[in-house]
Amino acid sequence: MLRKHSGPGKDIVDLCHLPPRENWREIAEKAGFSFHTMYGAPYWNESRAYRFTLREIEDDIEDPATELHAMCLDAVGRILDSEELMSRMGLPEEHWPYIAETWRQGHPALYGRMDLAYDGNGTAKLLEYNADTPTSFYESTAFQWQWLEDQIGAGVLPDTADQFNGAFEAMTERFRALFKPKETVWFTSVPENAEDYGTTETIAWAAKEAGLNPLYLTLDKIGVTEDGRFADAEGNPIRTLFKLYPWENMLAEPFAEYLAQSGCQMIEPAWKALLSNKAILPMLWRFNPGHPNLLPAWFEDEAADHAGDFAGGMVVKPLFSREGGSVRILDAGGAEIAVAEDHTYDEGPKIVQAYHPLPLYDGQHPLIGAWIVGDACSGMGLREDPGLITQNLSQFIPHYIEG
Amino acid sequence: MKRSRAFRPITLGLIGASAFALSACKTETEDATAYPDLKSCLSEASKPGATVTEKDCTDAYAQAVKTNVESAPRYDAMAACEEEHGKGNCEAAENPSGGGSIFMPLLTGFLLGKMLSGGGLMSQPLYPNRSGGVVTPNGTAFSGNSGKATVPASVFKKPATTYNKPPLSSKSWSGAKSPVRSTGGFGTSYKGSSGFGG
Repeated sequence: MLRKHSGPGKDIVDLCHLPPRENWREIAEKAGFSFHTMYGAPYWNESRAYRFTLREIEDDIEDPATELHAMCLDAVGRILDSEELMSRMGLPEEHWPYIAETWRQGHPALYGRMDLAYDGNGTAKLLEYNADTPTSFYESTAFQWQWLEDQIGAGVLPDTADQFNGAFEAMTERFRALFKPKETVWFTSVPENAEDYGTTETIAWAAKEAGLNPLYLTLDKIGVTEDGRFADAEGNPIRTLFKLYPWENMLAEPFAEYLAQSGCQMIEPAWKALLSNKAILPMLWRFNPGHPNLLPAWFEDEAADHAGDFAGGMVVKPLFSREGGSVRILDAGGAEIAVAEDHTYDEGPKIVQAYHPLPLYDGQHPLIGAWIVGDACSGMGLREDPGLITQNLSQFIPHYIEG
Repeated sequence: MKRSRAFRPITLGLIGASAFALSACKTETEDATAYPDLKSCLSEASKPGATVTEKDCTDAYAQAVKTNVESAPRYDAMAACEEEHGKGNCEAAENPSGGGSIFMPLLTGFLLGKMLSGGGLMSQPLYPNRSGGVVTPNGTAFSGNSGKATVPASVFKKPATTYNKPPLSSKSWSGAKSPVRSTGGFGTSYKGSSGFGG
């Protein structure tokens, strides 16, 4: 068993270097996990694995993430009640009534992924919440579970090794609770994107396990009927639609005007647009200042009034950036430490969050993705990047629990 | 234990089994005929070479009337009923649980179905649809209350009971198919190959 532990002491998360399964690529191909290698570089990397203790998982990730989600729901209610707060969220005003209505009617949420910085020391810190279109669900559930079982079988990991991996079951239960048996749920994602399709289909498997009838159509094929409902090409009306496509895009597109009267229940519902939005970070700080799992955060125009919070540097994030796009990290003096390569989101409103560097393990910075399904945290997946900003080509690294 | 239990590997994409069903429609079908009333069915049954008998007509009509009592769409307001079925096509009815009046669409015919594979006579009541045709309690829409069609067997599925249950209000969902007037109104800001997961 090859193991190297970085750093001293028992109370930190360990990085282990393990022999990859010889045929892991074949296993991935057979499973249809075709995006294990993207743009020529490996995405899934099982030569490294993080080892957590059960206490670290339960006390430092699972419970805090569940609590953070509850704080987010509280924040949504408060923001929707205030035009002043709502005006900070960067969402188009003509759709505020629709967004508020989805909250008022209790349109249910399915899932989200919280990105946390944590290395076993101190408390996990919320960097952001992808509450609308999180990916890596497949890798976080089926695939890393397979890795664990295979490596236990191969004697690379001990028999007692476990993994924080209950999100798929939680999702099946969530579907069961929200829908009637055999009910049809439509799924959509953009055409010709294997990774998005993979995430969408994994969610659909959970729906199928729950006894529902999942159907798929690409985003561009969604139609509007004469009576104002969304439908497939044959005119079959869409009552429930899981979409792997962000709200901030949809709300600006031609069919957005039909949303309110369509009778269609979207997953995720429109109120999630308040969470999958960096603006929630200054809101959370405003409502829960000093919370151990939050980093100080302010809107860009407020940051100068709170310079004390940024003594260790600051991270400037556009409200809707994705995969680290247009993120800049500055030191206390304002000099750039790191800048995202992707500048797609350079324009537009921004927030400033106190800089809390990701831990460094043997040249890589791991970021914990904690899965919230329904209202509780039930699993986790880790990604690593050589840089300080986790971006599109970061690698997915499995984890296990021991001790 | 934090590990997933009772778990099996999931396959993605078109390799092996896919999570998604192939289409929204069932493939088992029936021959169905719509009649505006019992008289027109009996009239057809009396013609030489008719595919229905007088007994078929009376049985199917009686069943449709019974289904109408049990499962007609019921609304809590005239406006809600007319929203679905068109102006002038609804009437007030007594509420058996003693609440406010219930409003129901007028019965405008019945659908008689015979399995292509033989056996079973089935029927459904028909109500006016606001777009001008007719609709069953299950929400299947037809362009008129007379004529023939081949329909999926599910059209004749026993509808849910609405008698003495809370009536629908105007935001109710209609599962009826409806012609699509345009597509492509979502995804317009999507350019190129990068995905939207984050």
